[in-house]
Amino acid sequence: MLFNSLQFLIFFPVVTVLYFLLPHRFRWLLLLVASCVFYMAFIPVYILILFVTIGIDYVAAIYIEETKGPRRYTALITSIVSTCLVLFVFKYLNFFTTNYNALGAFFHLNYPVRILSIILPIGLSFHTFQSLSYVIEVYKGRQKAERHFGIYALYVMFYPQLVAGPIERPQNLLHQFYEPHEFDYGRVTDGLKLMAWGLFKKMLVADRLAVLVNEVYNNPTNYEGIPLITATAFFAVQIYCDFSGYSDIAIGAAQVMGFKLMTNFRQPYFAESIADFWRRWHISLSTWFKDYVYIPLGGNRVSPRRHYLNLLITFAISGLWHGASWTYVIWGALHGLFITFSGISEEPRRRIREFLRVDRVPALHAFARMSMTFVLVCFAWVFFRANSLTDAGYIISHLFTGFAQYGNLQYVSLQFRGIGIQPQDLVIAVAAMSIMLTYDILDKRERVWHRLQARPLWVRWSLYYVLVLAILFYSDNNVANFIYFQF
Amino acid sequence: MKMFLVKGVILSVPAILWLAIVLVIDPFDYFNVSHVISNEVKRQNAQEINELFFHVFREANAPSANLLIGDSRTANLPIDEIDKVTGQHYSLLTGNALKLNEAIDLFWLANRYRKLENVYIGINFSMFNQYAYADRVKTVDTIVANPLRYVFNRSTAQALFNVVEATITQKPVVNSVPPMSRDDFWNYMITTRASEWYAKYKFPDDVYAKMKTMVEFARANDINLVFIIVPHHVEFQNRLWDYRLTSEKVRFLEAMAALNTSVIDYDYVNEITLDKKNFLDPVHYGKAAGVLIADEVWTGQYKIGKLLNANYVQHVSAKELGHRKPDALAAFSGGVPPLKASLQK
Repeated sequence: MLFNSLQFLIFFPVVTVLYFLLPHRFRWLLLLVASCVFYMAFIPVYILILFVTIGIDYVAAIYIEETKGPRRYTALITSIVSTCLVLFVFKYLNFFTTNYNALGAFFHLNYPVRILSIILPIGLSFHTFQSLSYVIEVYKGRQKAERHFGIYALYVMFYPQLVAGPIERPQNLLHQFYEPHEFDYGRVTDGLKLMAWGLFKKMLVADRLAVLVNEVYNNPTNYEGIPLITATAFFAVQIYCDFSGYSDIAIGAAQVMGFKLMTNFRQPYFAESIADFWRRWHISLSTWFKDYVYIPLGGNRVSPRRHYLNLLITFAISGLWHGASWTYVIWGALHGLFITFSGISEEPRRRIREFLRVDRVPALHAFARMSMTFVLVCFAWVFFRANSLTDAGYIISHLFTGFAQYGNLQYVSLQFRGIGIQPQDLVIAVAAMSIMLTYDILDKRERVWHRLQARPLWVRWSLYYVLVLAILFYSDNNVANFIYFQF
Repeated sequence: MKMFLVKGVILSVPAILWLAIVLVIDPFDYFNVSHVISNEVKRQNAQEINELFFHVFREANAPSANLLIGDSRTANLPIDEIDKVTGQHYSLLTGNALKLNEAIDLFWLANRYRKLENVYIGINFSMFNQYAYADRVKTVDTIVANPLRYVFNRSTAQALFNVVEATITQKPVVNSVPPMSRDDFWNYMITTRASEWYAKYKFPDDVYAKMKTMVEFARANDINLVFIIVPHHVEFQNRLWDYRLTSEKVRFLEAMAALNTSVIDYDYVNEITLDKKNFLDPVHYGKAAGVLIADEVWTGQYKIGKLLNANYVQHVSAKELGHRKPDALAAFSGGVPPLKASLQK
């Protein structure tokens, strides 16, 4: 069930109303049933897989808590391996098989392994990581093992964040299922506003830009120069609006019922370095990798060489987490390389800054850093979005083809022929992007919705109407999947 | 809670009112329950806003076994004349600037509504281009499945205001006549439109594969599927030389012939395409030409239309690949009057 579908438009109010009508002791059951219905709207039988991993981790965590000595560690490893095994079979087995076959063919060893026809369970990577964080936290003694199976299952399956996060830590979410949530007008309306804003980003910006991006990235050899640059820049905006839009709806939906989920995005394209970008982009995942991969590897409390290696490993795994393809691995590794290079070149860059005295105009300096970061992020997005390494290579090598003619409007317009997006749709997308950018700029100083609260009623209601009407009348009519659902 | 519900109701009142208005006016006959506005007013004022909506929603409500699919050029075929000649009811499933991939999508969409018997698809080389691409049928299909998408839709809103205004003022609101003289528009089409269609060309492998699948399906399911290559005025045909697309045109004809289904070509030098009077603009034939084409195609007695086959294509290839000048078209077509001096430039 998609957040932007008619089914969810019915599902959400029904579940929310029932939630507030039911006594507190039954609410967990309602949410669990609702989460099962939500998940089963995709591929019903896959819920069995989810319950297998839930069962394993539930038992393992209790065992870890009750046991002392090396058995605890064995239980932890058993739990991690079994949870990851499910992820491996469904997500990575074909990737490794394909590469094994290719390698075999290269060395003329003709023992090909059959590629399985498997559909990836939706949101598998997300709830796998959420389960892992629970078991690890119990092992570390920072979280008590949950004895109530239903509540634990709900922690993994809570429908607003089940399929694409935010990836919650048990310390933040589990206790909330025990707290009685009363109907709070302010909280409910704030949640609804956040959901509306998420839908605006998804349906007006992301889905419209997707038309152009998909056409160019699915047929890259049909294009060169400006369309490739435009599609890449648009993809940067598309994926941000798509994923942060999803997160806003998820956080908003949970907030309506009284749950507080963690912030997942903080204006990532205002980042002034790649490291800063990762403090603002998909925060629940980047902190997960920091806590459970980067720091256990030694983090930055090791030799510089080892530190940079830790960064590269963490980012490459993060790439692989996104998708079983070399394009994702390279995307992740590129971010690792950018941060490594940034660390290595810090001293020379400081000298250049001092020599050029750019620090004297801080705003300009910040803008230059922001622009540079955006360009690097876009460059990496090419690998993330391209359907293959060959496509990514073509796109990168043809980004500036015909550069000398970029001033020729006729030439530029010819390059955009057949791109599939109607001019009026492009205008809507650009207008929506501008609104979103303004929102992000204003939100940086003070939360927009809080600021709006101080305005007269007619101003607020007019804005709500405009937002709702824009979503209803100007959104793309096709119900498109959220990009991160595939992970 | 009470305040929330009260405010929620107040906030939803305009939406409920709008829903009621759309249900009553229903500019595209989506719900097909209210007939407050006459059919003619809707045709005149809503169809121009979104032709696909207009035809597809009607088709969804009352599916027809006999269809004409294509863009505005196909829409110029006289549907009444076809009904008269065949004694069967035909429906138009056309859209402004419809692309070939969308025509195929429409075929599958209509096939879902009921078993098809006769399907005629209007096509031209200008549509047979990888870059001539749009994806609107999917959107229309989504709307068919979801009434809320129809109610809260810009085309619906625009068409609704148009039909209401036209009913009140008793005048058509939509004027499809271009805001320039016929000659100016003619030149605009010859220059700008030709550039839009021909400046960037690539053989549409994907779409052609879909065409083959469609033809095979039609054959297996006993559907009479016919392609009509709709005519352009020779001045527009001549633009193919300017864009060096003559060999691609021949490839298009070869591909069409290879489909092994009936393909009738009107887009060559003939009595229709030589005379400006037969055209509203260089790519849209007029009523008389439409009647002539309809008579030929639906009676199967061809005087101008050429049934595409390998021999015919070879004949065209020999002429067109031989670097002939546009004025040599007359020699190729044989029997048609010589080209006017103005065309020989």
